[in-house]
Amino acid sequence: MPGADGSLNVQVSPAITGRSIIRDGALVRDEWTWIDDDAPLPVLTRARDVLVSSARWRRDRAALLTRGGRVGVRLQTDELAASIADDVGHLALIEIHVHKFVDGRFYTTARLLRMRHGFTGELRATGDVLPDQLFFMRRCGFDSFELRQDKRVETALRALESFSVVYQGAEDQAPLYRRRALG
Amino acid sequence: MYRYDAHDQQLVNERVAQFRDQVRRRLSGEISENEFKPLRLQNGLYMQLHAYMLRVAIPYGLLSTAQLRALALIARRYDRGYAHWSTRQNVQYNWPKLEDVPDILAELAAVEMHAIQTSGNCIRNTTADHLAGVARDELEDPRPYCEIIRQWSTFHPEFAFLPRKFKIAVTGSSSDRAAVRVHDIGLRIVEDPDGPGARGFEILVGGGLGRTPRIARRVRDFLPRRHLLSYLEAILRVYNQYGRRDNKYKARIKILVDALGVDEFRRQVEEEWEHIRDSALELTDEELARVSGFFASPAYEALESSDAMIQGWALGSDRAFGRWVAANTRLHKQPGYSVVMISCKARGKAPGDITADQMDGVAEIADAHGFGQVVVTHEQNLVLPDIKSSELHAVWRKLEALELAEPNVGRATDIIACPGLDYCNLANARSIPVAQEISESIDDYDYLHDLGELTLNISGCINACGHHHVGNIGILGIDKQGEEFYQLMLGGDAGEDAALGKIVGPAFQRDAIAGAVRTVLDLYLARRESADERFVDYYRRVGAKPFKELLYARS
Amino acid sequence: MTQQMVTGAATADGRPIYMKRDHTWTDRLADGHVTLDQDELARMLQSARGDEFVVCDPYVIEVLVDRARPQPASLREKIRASGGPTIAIAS
Ligand code: SF4
Repeated sequence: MPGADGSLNVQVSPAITGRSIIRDGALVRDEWTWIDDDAPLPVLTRARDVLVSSARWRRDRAALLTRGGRVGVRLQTDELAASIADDVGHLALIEIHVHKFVDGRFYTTARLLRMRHGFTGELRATGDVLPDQLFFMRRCGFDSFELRQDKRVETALRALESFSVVYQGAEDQAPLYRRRALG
Repeated sequence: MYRYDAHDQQLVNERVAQFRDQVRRRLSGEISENEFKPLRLQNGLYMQLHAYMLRVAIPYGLLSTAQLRALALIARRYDRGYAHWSTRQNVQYNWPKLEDVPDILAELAAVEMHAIQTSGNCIRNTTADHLAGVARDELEDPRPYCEIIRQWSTFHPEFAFLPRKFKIAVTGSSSDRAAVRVHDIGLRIVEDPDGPGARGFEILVGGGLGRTPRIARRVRDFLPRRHLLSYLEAILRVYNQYGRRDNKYKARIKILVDALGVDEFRRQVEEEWEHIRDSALELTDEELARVSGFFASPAYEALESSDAMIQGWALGSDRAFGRWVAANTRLHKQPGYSVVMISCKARGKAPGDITADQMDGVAEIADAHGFGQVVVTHEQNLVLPDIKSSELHAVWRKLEALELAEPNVGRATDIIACPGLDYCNLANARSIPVAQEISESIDDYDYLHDLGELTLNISGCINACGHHHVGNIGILGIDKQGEEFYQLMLGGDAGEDAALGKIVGPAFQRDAIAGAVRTVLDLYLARRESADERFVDYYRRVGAKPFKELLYARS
Repeated sequence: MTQQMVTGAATADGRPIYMKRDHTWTDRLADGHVTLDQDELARMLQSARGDEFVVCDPYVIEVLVDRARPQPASLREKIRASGGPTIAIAS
């Protein structure tokens, strides 16, 4: 896709590329490598930053933490914030797999990870991620998005800017009534 | 009433642009109908039997005359010259074209209106007592809180895809005209039991109609008003995580409250609330004052009380005017003023429908005799909130000319009916023709007057948009092997003594239901203790038995 | 006897439309293609689902064919085919 290369200085081996993600208003190549639950953990030179399921994380936590690279965990829609709350300090990425975009539990998961559990790493949405929900997702604390394959990046980037005014507080802004008061 | 500032206006303008873009993408094939559906629904655009239907939000039912005229213009320019008041104080257009909808939204935005979240699994239009601000029994005007809730819920990023739709109602009066006990959340403004003068809310959760009707359960006796939004957010957060998503008939919050039990539900909400109660969600005094300021009483003239005069008219020799005064006016908190109820239930007409000319006519009356405001009721009627009692006769004459003076508000022919199988995609049976037949069968105004206060509600399917469970008489259309049948329920009540009606017996065929209703009414009139015993009181006293015996005597 | 056809709501304005033999659409139920052949119906429905520019949510309805004129079997489809509500529109 146009503009996908060169936005990151991370060296990506061709064998493990494939994902492009939207971050900070642009399409960039993903630097994370997904490791299947039954695959061995790769050596650091092959994949520095690895993404695993929550089950794998619980099983191989010690090995993941000592191998040197960064660790990310992928949650499914039905894995709510409480399920990973105690571990967020160890994680540089939490990815939430959106099962169906109309199942909106993940919005609360994202907010709680940010405001309740203090997660400061990258929060990413993958799966059934469509342009028209990106604005809401970002407000709930997501900062990167893997768009569903058949969707247009230009539409997504435009949709992220749908509104310049928001009423209620979320992870990005205080409620308008607190900002109105300031003039 | 609330007026938009630059922020509010910007938001609805951006919404118009966003929806225009979404429609363009739908028509260019970039998004499928399945992806478009939730987007159009969040903008009130349904697919009905014959056409699209657009539902426009009327926050807590309040309209300026400029807005009412804009609704009339839309009905003429983009629809077929009429519109329909819904049971959530909104307005519906039955014939818009998809490509016109962005333009309709632009017309709405120009008068500070929108269609945001009038459908879909999100927080819907917050409803209120239609006598808010003018009722004699009002402790405090609920509309500032409704507006605060409106702003908080509009595009709330966390709650746009809830398990199911979510409805909130607020009342500030002792008589409940907002049916707060049959909402997902019902809020009652109450005095602080501990501190003199401080106000807050009693919080009721998990009421609702539909397949599993429930009266709401009390989750909190008193919540200080500054915590309104944090508490709502806590309830919604618990619901968004734990409400069922595997079965849409079990997805409303009432089912979650049932499953957890109200005590455990309350514990979870309170636990969540503890985390956020002292956050930025706490309402500021400035915001409460800012929003309340929009709802200050208009500049009433200092007048003598008109109660005796109204009483005189109601019983007077001009029977046509007297009947109208008795049924269609309400006592106003301000001496010398009255509340006028406009019936949109003319005999033989579709309940809640109104033509563009009638809308313009009502706007003219509200400007000439009131303060330029009109309220839509959840009973699908209109209210002129501030009419000088000395001008009631003139207002009545004008309403008569508009065919909007049917003297039946709160009476048996003031029927709430959903669109039913004449329009609705989900219907099992028609509602409107049944309503028409019943209202035509009660052709004697003395008889109607004699029946007194009575609610009669009709739904065309179990979704209960016509609120049949809480009608004193409720009718539910069902489908039996392709034929329309109607279940008859008695004893429902939407008010402070909220109750769900009970089915009296086997359903009636299409041609027998109006007669069955007449049988019920005749029996009540013949056997009630006195004219003071309302239908619902009589039913509570005697139960279903006498009705059953008479209705099913021959079978 | 009972036969079947494919209908749906027009994308442009939501009016009921009916599929013809050549998989194009007509506003008139009488001009829609009636069949008993389940394979043909499946093909029609699949073709309709791929035609979102024109039609939303296509589905199969039952029709009764009387002297070569199809009539919808259900009240719902009768009301749809009649072009509007069964009651007078406010005016
Ligand atoms: S109650 Fe049923 S028939 Fe009536 S409007 Fe609601 S969904 Fe349609």
